[in-house]
Amino acid sequence: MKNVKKSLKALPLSMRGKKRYVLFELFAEKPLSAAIVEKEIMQRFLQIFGSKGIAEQRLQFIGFYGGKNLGIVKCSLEECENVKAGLLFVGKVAGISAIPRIVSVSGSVKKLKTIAGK
Amino acid sequence: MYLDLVFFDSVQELQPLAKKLGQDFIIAKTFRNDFELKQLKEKISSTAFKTCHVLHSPNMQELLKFRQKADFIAVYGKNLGRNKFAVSNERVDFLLMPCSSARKPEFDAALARLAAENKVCIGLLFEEFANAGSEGLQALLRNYLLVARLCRKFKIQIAVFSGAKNAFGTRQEKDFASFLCLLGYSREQALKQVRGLERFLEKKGKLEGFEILEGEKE
Repeated sequence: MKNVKKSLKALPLSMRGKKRYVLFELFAEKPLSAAIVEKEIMQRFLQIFGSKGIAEQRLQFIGFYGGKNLGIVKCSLEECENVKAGLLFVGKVAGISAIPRIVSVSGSVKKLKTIAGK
Repeated sequence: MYLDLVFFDSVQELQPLAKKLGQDFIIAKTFRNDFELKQLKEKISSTAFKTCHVLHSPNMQELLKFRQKADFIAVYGKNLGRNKFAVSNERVDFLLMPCSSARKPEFDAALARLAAENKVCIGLLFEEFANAGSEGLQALLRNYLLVARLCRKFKIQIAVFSGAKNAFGTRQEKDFASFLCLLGYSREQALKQVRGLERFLEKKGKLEGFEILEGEKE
């Protein structure tokens, strides 16, 4: 077929919305895995903010450094403070107690990966 | 230096936490007698930690007994009588958790005005929010949105403490600025509240020679 749309047009930068990446640390007795941390974060955020709240925050789990218990989440700029507050509610991950701490917030993930790598 | 209020007194656990999180602790407890308070003070003598006596009933005698001995006096709210007692008394430093998750909040404009006049700080315990469960949390947040609004209107110092009963309940105090944003404060207002607690206590004569960190970056 001739005029079939094969790919989506990229959204212009002005419409993408501003974002922030939050680097957080979980002080726990044992190293944690990315999958269980992601699951716990999503469950807690769902409990606190609901589906609409998470959608507005545009929350996305980027990655987790298991050895250092450091993780990165992406969110929208307007909801950054709410996301940071929500992360404080993550006290237990699969039964393992943890103390969450916000390490840094940045507009780019590269800077946070550098901090996490140190 | 930031101050956090906790409900356990294990110095072996608190000292490394203080270093890791970059804050000092106020150890809150309902002391039964002077000896218990004296024992705790000896235990924490090598640290910068403070003691706080928590009142669970509007007992003036108990307040006067521990006023000069403990570093701070706190009243645990969630009751109209206790709230009224706390805000009417300038000897009280903190009113902890003025509201429960009841339908009608136990804190109103009249109490807020009194709290502002007597320089009583409203203390929120994060542990109670974290352990509330989904139904309890929405009721607590509903009531504390009102409390926060009253604190902004009447310019009352509000502090968020971890209220931890064990080491894993503690949080970094400066992260609680985000929690205040959840309660309706703007970022600047929230940071002012979190950083302003030491100055507030210093003005009240409860802290001496405290170094206020200015221009600290988030």
